[in-house]
Amino acid sequence: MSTMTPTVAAPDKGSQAVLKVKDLRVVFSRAGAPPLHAVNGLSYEVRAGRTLAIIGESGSGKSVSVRALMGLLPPSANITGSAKLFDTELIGMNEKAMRRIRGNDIAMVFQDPARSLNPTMSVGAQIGEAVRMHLRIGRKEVADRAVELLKLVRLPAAERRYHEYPHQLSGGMRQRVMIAIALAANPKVLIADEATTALDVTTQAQIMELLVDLQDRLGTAVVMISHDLALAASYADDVMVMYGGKVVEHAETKALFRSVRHPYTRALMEAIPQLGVPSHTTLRTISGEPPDLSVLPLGCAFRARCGNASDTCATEAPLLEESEPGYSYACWHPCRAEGDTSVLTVGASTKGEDIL
Amino acid sequence: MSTDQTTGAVTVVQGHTQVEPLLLVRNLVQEFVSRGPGGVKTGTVHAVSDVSFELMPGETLGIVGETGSGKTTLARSIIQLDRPRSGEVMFDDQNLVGMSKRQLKKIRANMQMVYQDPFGSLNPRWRIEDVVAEPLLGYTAMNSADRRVRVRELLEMVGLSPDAYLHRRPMELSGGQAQRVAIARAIALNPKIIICDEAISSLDVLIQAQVINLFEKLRAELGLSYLFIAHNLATVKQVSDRVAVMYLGQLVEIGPSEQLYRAPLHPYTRVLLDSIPTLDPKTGVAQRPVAQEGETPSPLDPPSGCRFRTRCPLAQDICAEVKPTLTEHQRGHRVACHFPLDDPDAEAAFATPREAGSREPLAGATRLT
Repeated sequence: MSTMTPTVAAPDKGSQAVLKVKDLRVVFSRAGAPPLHAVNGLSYEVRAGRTLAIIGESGSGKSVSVRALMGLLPPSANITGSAKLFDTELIGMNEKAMRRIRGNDIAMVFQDPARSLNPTMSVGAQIGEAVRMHLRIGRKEVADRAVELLKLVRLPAAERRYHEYPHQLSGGMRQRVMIAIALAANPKVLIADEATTALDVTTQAQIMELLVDLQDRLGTAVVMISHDLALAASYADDVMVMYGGKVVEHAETKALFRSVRHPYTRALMEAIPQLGVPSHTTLRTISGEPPDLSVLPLGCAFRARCGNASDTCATEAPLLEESEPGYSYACWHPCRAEGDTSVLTVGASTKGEDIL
Repeated sequence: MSTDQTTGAVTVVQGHTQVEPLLLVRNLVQEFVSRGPGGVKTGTVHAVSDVSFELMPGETLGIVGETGSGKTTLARSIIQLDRPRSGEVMFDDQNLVGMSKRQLKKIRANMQMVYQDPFGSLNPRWRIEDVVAEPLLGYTAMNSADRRVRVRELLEMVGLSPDAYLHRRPMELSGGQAQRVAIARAIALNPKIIICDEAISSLDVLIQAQVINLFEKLRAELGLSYLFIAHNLATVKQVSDRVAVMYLGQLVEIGPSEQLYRAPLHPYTRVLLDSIPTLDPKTGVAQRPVAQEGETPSPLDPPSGCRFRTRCPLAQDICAEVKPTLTEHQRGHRVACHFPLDDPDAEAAFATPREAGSREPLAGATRLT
């Protein structure tokens, strides 16, 4: 089908840690305002051929944490900790070295393909640009390779689309072009930041299927950032849930959703409208809003919204600890493993808002 | 249904004896001229083509469809923000199409909209108090003291404590709070219908659930009818009594929500339902969706006959030649399709969703419900 040969042979699932993040912290300094603690000690690993989903609400630090790795944050961001791509340290790397990594070894697909593509350049020229950046090959080969990439992402009529401009493509086609650009240099890690959020459900299913297929063939490690629990549960091998810039629960996908331990993850799960539930069933949800990141709470960041909270939660932040191999959560009063929903029966109310 | 406008209190007795629809949309057509360089007409966008439905008092009708299916244009055409090409919109025995601006202004007190982006629909320089009081100023003879009382009452109804929010400005609110303010403004005049255009789509899951519950609470308390437009099928199911499915400007299926989701009749509805990844909160089992190939054609040049035929696994020659009409198959469940899915043979044309993690389709996998 395609003559594309990956630079690294596709390893078996779970063989090798490609990306190792350790105690990553991001603090934004702001003029005339207290600093914003966006990411507060994040550690994880992604292996070749596997998909890690990072889940959380707006402001949970999921996007900031991956942008920090790629050197895409503004100068006001103070990044500490470690992030290693194989043995190369990414944090603190100078811009010139980072440019060689970015796109080459780690590539990113963003939410809005219309804004990520250059409206004045043809699709082919944009892919060609990405190809030329990373491979020293002649003009003819660049064009061939661009068409090949368009075929790889299953863009219909690739030869014709090569000459077209972004506005002539649909949202799904544009996202395919973005993926083609991201794959131009056979990255070891692909970061998909809400890559299907702006797409229709039918297109989302197509794009996800494409990503799974490409991952199988190229052995890419994928970090997928999403707010959609069901999407993460359907496609990720591992899931990490973030709240207030910290990981609250991290486990292999099936194990995690089978026995959710953290009250926040449980609350997220319960709040999704279900197709199988009769209409007008009141959704179980918790009151309140995500924490203010300019004032780091002393204890657990979730305690104000948590039904299980006790005095301990106010004074001591729970650590992310392994309860069994491969399963960790950070909570003093976790939900019982099987179907416990007690957390939601008591709703702690903040800011004068009630559960409606 | 009676509304006591003078005291501002709605007294609604909702029963099933009521048969007169509150809103009746008949053969509504909306088309826009597409222009190229120099203003030369290059084509016609068939945004809404011959759509008919009715909204009963106290009912929530969900409208689902993908980008470009005409959901938003339909809403805008109903409240006459864009004047429709042809058709009728009957409300209170009056046809809104062709009505004068002055008359429309009166009608619109009964028909309010809540939009997707609350920040875009709230004036950033105004205080919340003024935002919510504005409709009262324009439509009622309330004095400022009465208005202040009413604004406090409205904010309480949407779950915002008046003392904390009255003097804030929209930028000081979170997305969920701002949407509550937009809702408070929408219900200020005791409207009969609220049109929600993706009103919860940009909110986070937990906040979204809060706002959905708020919509449900207000419906029960005020006897509102909703036209609930969204692309998320599960959300629409959550709030709707009936659901209408749109594709490329046409209504392809409409029916009671339970029935439509359990046993969709139109192949497009089935494709949409199969495309949603699901997660059962009780068992934690996720179901990976089935990807259907194909793209939605351009509304500039929609396919002849049935517009879905270019993507439909069941399409035959007749689908290109004859446009299917919306016909009733089961009580209250209408579909526009030559080969509706109540035929068991149709099942074979669809792949079944798989449990997440498996690479092969599961043998005997159950249909998405």
